[in-house]
Amino acid sequence: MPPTRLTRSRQGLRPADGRLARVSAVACLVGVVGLALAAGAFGTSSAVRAANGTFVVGQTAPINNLLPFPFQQPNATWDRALFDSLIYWSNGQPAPELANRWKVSGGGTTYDFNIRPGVKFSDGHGLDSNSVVQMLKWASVPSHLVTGAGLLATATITRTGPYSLRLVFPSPAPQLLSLLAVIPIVDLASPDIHAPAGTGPFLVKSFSPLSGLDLVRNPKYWSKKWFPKISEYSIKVFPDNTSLVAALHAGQIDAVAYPAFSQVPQLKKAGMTVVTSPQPPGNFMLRVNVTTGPLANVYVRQAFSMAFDRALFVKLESGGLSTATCSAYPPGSSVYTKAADAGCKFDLAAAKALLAKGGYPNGFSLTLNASSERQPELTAFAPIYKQDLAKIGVDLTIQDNTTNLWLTNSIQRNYGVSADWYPWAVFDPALLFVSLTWWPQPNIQGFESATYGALVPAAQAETNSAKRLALYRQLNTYLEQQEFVIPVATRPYVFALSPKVHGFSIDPFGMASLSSVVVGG
Amino acid sequence: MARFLIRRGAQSLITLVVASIAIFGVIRLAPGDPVRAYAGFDATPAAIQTIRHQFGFDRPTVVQYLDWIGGLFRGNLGISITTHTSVWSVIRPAVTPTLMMMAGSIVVLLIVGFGIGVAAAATSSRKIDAILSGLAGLLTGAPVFWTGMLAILLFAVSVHLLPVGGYVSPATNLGDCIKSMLLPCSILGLALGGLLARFVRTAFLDALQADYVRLARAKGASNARVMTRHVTRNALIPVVTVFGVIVATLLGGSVVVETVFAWPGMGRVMMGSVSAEDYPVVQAVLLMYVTSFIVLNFLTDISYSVIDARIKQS
Repeated sequence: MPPTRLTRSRQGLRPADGRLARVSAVACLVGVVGLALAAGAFGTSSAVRAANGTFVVGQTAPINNLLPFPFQQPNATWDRALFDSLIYWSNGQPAPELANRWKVSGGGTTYDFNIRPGVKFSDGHGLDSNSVVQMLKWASVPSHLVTGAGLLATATITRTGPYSLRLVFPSPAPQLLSLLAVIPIVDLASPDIHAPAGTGPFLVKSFSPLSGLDLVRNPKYWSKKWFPKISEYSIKVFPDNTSLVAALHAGQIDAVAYPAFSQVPQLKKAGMTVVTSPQPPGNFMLRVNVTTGPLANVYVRQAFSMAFDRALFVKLESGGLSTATCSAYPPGSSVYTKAADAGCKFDLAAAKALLAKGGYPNGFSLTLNASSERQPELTAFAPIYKQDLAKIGVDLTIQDNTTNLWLTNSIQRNYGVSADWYPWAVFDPALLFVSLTWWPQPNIQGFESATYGALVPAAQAETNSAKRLALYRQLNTYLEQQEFVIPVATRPYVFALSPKVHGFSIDPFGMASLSSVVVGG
Repeated sequence: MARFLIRRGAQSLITLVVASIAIFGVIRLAPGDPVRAYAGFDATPAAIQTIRHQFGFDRPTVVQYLDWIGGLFRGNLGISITTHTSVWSVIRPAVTPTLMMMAGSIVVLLIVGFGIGVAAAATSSRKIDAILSGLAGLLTGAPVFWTGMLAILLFAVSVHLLPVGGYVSPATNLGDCIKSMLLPCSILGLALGGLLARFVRTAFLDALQADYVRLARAKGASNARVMTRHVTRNALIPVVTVFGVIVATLLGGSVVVETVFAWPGMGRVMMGSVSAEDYPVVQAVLLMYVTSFIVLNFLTDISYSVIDARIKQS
């Protein structure tokens, strides 16, 4: 046995064990090399993604359950894959889907629908007027969180035949058809109402709120026109936009749903295809709390609008996808006219004068309720807005809150201005007022007025289309003057796609249209 | 030994009760409204009130706490606000991925910790010792979210060798499972392997210099016998103590790594539930984490007393 060598070290004399050191080092090296070899042994990372014929979309928002209510942007990736609606929105017009025809009578108060016969839910139950009537009555209960529940609750909904039903409203309801395009028909007889059966082109293969949703093509889908070309559709959930875009670059996913607008230039530069909704359906906006303090004064609100540099916002934050506007109805709406944006300018001197006119020549302090999670573009622009407001004497405190705190602050009106966006402004103009943001009674911002309270129902009830349009344009001008919501710029829905994806589109509701999608080839 | 176990068991139980109160209370102190977060902007106040009543959030906090504890004893963790399913059905699919990550990370940390630590202790070269000790310090000091992002950029985005994130079950595809585990387990294992290496180095150095080792060698014991019977066994006593703490740290670190690598484990469930203010899920996951910490500490105490006869006797 060799004698033990004693060597000098920082600890003093210590016995060196060369063999032990070598064995340990080699063991460590073997382990690390083993791990590296394991990586190489199983091919490239494309093995982890699904096979061809599968379209894989990544998104950051978790899919909590498969009940498509309340309708929110994250649902729009799978909503139309699992469910159909009575109406489909095509080229700015309502088109037949589960309802193959309809008739409007009684001056716009009565709607008769015919349901397409022979359609079945994925659980095998047949779709008929009974199931649709039950579904619409269920949708009218506020706690079920269906968009437009308030409007549906005013209707008398009756079955008029095995495949026909009637909705009668106390006053004209012209927004009904566009509203029905975002109310998926679910089977209320499903064993689990939070994972209901639909009539859509795909069936659920597996679902995990954390990992995502895997769907397979429904071989018995009723529509030949919309029968999907892809055999499987997967939605993967990622923790943030950065890893989502990294996964797209790595080929692990085929598309990114709703990337941050600031990522769009880089995505285009990397050769990705950027697809937007045909018309931006809404706008980035600032909500203004009109209930307390200086913002109760209309001149102060107008000053805040005028102090927002919309052109710079579009340049810096929208990835080239937005257009600056001061109009509540964006340029894609029939209500919009160029005159609506004629006075839309960034003018700090005029803003300062408006503050003085409102009785606040020396400015004041207030908070901006923002959230990088919910509204990254406006939150990123907030420091510039703060600097501009400081020039007219207003001290803006920016709060970058979590989505939930931002939401709670917004609901409780615990803010001066709040960064947000709104959709649904390019359909029937009456649809905008389904949202509590534009509600004519005290809305989320706390605004109400006799003029507003009269204009909204009058425009909705008008049956002459020319007069109706004129009334909505008058309403748009009124909204622009009152500024309880400050529109900033148009906001389209955006998807980024790998170049090998073809045939993908987004409808104006932001819902992914999958029927023509082909991956590769 | 029995008295020791009973005393430690009682201490653990008290810790658990205090932790449950803290978890329940702290979550409710957080600003925001979970029901509003679920219902969104356009829910009417009446709808919000109905949903709040469905979840029992309109009752006094103490009653809610007692209900929760009572439910735990009946194996009922509650109902998730966001998914409307049982909390266990939300957590259950996340348990296996987290255990897989823990197992993979422990393999890496043992290889790295003992490899570097023993080599640094046993080498006669001060330079190599310094390099290995520096490497261990670097591994420990680098934050995992940073090394994780770098690893993604290198191995996933640049060379397309490994996936950016996600977990593949071994039942689905063993190869893809290993590939999906390599980056997150390596990042987590390397970080804590560096920490373990420092303890291993110190413990082995102490043992190698001990009189009983010198005596064993003088008596003519073989090198293998000296290493296994005298050095390793004695060096393991302090290492086992810290190993329990390191595994507990691993559990905490997995929350960050799961988030970086889109790993559908318990940490990600917790982060998602915190973000959505899904009280019942957050409470359940946190309690499971706390219980795991307590059990790990308990097992460490027991193993310590088993390895070191002096503690058992005292």
